[in-house]
Amino acid sequence: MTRPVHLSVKNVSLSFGGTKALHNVSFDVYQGEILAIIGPNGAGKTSMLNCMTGFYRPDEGSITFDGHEITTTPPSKIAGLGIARTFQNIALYTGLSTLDNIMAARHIHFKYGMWQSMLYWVGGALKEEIRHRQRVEEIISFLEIEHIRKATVGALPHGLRKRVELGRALALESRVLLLDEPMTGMNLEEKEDMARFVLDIHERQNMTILLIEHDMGLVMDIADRIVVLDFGVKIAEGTPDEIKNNPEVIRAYLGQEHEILN
Amino acid sequence: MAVLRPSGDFDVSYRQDMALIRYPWHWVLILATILVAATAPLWGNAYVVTTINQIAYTVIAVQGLNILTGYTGQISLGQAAFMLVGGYASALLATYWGAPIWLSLPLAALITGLVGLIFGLPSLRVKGFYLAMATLAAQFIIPWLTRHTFKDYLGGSDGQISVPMPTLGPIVFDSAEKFLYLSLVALLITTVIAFNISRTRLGRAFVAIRDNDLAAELLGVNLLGYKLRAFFIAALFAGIAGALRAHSERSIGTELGYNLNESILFLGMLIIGGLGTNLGPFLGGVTVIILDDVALQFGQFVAALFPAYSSNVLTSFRPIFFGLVLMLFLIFEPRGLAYRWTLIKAAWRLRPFSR
Amino acid sequence: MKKAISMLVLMSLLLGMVSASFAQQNDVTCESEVVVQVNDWLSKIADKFYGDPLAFPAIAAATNAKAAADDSFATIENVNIIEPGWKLCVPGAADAQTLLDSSAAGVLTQSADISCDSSNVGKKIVLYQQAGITGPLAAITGPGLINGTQDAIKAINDAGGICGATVEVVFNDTAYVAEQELAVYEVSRNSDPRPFVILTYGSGATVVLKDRVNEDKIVNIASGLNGPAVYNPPNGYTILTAPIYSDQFSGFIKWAKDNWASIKPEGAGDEIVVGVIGWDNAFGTGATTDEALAYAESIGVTVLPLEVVALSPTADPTGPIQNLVAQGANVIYNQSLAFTPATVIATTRALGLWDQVVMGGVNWSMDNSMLGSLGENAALAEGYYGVFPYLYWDDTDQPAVRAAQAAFDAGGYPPADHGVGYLLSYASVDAIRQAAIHAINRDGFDNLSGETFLSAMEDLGIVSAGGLFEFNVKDGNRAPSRTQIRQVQLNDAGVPTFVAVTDWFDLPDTRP
Repeated sequence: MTRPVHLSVKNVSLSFGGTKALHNVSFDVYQGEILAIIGPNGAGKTSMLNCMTGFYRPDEGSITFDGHEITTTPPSKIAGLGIARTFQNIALYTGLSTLDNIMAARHIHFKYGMWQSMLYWVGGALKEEIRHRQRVEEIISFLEIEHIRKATVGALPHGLRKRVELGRALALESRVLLLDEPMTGMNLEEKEDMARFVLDIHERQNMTILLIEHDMGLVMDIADRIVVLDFGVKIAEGTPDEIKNNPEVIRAYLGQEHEILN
Repeated sequence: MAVLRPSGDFDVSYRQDMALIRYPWHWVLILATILVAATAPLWGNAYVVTTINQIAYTVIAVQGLNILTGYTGQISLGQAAFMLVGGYASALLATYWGAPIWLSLPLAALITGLVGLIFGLPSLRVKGFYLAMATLAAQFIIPWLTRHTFKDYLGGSDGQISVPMPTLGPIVFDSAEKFLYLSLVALLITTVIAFNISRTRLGRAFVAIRDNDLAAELLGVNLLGYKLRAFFIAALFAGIAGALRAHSERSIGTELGYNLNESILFLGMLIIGGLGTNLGPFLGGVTVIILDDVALQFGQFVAALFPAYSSNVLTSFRPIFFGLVLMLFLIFEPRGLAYRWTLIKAAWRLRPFSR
Repeated sequence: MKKAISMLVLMSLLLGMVSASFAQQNDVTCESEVVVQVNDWLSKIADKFYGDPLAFPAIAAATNAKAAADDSFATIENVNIIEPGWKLCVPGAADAQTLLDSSAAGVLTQSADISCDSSNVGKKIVLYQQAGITGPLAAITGPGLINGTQDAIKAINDAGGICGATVEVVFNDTAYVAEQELAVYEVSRNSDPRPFVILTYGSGATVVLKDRVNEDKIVNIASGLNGPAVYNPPNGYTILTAPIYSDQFSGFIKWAKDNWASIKPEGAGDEIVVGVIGWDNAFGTGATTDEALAYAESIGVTVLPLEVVALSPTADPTGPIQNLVAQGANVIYNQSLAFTPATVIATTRALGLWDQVVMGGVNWSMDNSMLGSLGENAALAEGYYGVFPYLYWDDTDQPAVRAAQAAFDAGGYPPADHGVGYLLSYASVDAIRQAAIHAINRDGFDNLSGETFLSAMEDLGIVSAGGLFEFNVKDGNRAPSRTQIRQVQLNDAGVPTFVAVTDWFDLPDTRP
């Protein structure tokens, strides 16, 4: 691999009480690749993402982003650095419309403050709102969710909500996208749509994407590389082909062999 | 639910799409409301005028609470205490520096906002019931301080000080009729501010915190910073409401209320009107205040029907009736009147296909 | 034998006292004897003989004294009612003065039956009464107030109104919320006819309305007795129905100090330590003003910091009581009403602390409403002392009380309303009648306003409220300053009654 390292995880360990969630995990995410993290339930995949986004502070080890240490950076600063994320259990603002959800993600790109908010017409708030609205409309159009622009997201079906959440992550205009099971609970058609969006984003913006997903077939299709976690330990790392044939992985997925090779 | 609009009705610019007043009938409704309220001295008696005045400053206080509780999801039981701060601040500014109302009112609001910041600090660490307890502290500490410290300025055991009549240039607001306009203008301004907050970055950040604080944080919203902003604005509004009430009642202090009951009642108004909607404070405030008056009148009517129990009816009817109606509201209209209003609007647009 | 002699001496002494008192009464010499004519009033007669209509109580006292020995003289039960044909005794001017002085010192001023110079039939006078008819204090300020006012007005109208004008009343409920007091006042002051007098019942009302009534020149007959609100600024339009709270409190501790030897709890020392339990509002904090505390210090009585109880029937005073006793309180003074003194009494008894303290309180704390809150345990209140600046239902020997009782009975009201509220409004209306007549006589009916009404009251100085209590508007006063101390005692039937344990005495002056 000659591509520059974007995100680097070195010897990260994390435990809750006596339970080890992550144990000495290291891997790199290269610029412009799609890296998938897979593993059985409870393998520590989401914990890994939470460490990267500042929700958890690893007991040991470090995480760097473009060479900057982000191990102890609070979550609210992560976005500013250029890392966006979606959540396993959709974390949309259910009371807001699709439009406002995505606009809310532009938060860090706004310049105006509290007083301008109150005054709206004077002080530049209106002008800035319109400027960002243009950007957001591009995202809405890209994700083909124009028809639900003004709908309250709490009332949307699951598949659309996942899409809105992706839109929200895109609105941050980050350089890395962390997607935590973006396709769970979807039917085949929705999954294919979502996969197409992910690949589109990857290709058009040369976005680095880190993906957690259970659907092995899908992962094998779209991921450049795969990291496999089991009980908090990294047991394998490599291209989809390498992973498919890795005996450790097969052992970890014992009884689920069929799913991997699907 | 999706927003239903008549076919053929398109916005042709983002600005138009973001506008608040979108149809001619919006203008009609708004102007009619303003007209009815502003001409109250002509068509109503003193009771009507004072009631509208009371509604005006109450709605302002509830608007503030709506920003904190409705939008940001931070429950607060201290709104009445913050009103007390605003009232005293404006009163003292006017009494000792002769500040005119255009100066004393905003200054009082700012001072109250800063006090609100202090009591917002626990919100970083605690949520829900625990935060309610923390804001309850404001409701105990502030009234206690007004009664027991700086007795010469705050009234001491009298529990009140008198507040000068507000002046604005040559105008002296010396009657309820005149004061009504002051309150209505203030309400108009706070309403515009509330709408502006809800449709901009600030409002979206508030709702983000309410709906999902983890996601909000990850999208770059500084939780403490924005929770404190919400507390500041809520107290700011309470300060305006308190100053208006103090000047219109021409006295301020714990003797006039500003107690926990009122803070809870503000929450009740907000729930009845609709949490997290800009219409909610209006619907809730108007409903509760009018309901209270109806309960009073109705109680006297019922007492007259049962002379043998008149004393019991007179003393207990009002709270029972009031409590019962509140309870029924929560059972049958849990999402507040503002939600009912959107349903009515939708039904109107869908007619004749609506149920 | 010795025993018999001492008995004899005792009996003769007793007889001597009785005959002496009779002799004293018979000592009254009538300068003239007057037979009542149609359209005669006592005050008219007093005016004719002494040039002072207010000297009428002397005639009433002299006549009643004569009547005790001589049937030909009438017995005047109610100074407002004299019948044609009655024979009255009019004492000489000097005797009259003596009688007036003794009545001023010992008993309340009697209501004056002032005659009118003009007739205003067809016109009307409207009184505005606002109170917490509902709300926490409804037991005192509820239906009783309304009934009392209505009955008093009915009596006045039946007797031809005030100088011919019909009296009406407008009631407004404020639920004992100061904000409502203001809102209601705002309505009243804009009503037609514009009020010249309003009646209010709450410290909140007194406090928040004081500037308004001064500005609007509307007299507020107020039963919220906050000194600072009334005397700051002085000579205002708020006039109180009873002594200000700080005066009452000071008077109570003065009385306790003077009588400590006889009232002190068993085992208590000579030092008096007073604990005050009050509500957390202008009323509850109204007794322990800086002036009252300074007075307490001046007579060597320790007053502990105010213990606050919430204004709610369910508030638990256990903590405050224990705090006070732990700090050495041997006197507990209740600056609260109705349910709160009741729970303080019951709780103190339950804690077994009743015998360690002298328990008392502000005027209305000792009322039917307090006994009512105790319910079937009303007897627990036995021994409670109250500052008592008015007559009460128990004073059946007083004509004024008998008249009020007759009106109450005629109304057929429930026993729960048989409290101070009825007496208060019943009597206040009578005082308004007298002052209004005086104002009408002096300035004309059409000039009856808050201003003329107040100056009429000032003219009269001390205005009797139906003989049940008195207003004192003399020399810048806005509240009376005399009281009795009464105690709850059980009568033979085991029913609590309010028995006077002192004569009327002047309270210390703790005006701000």
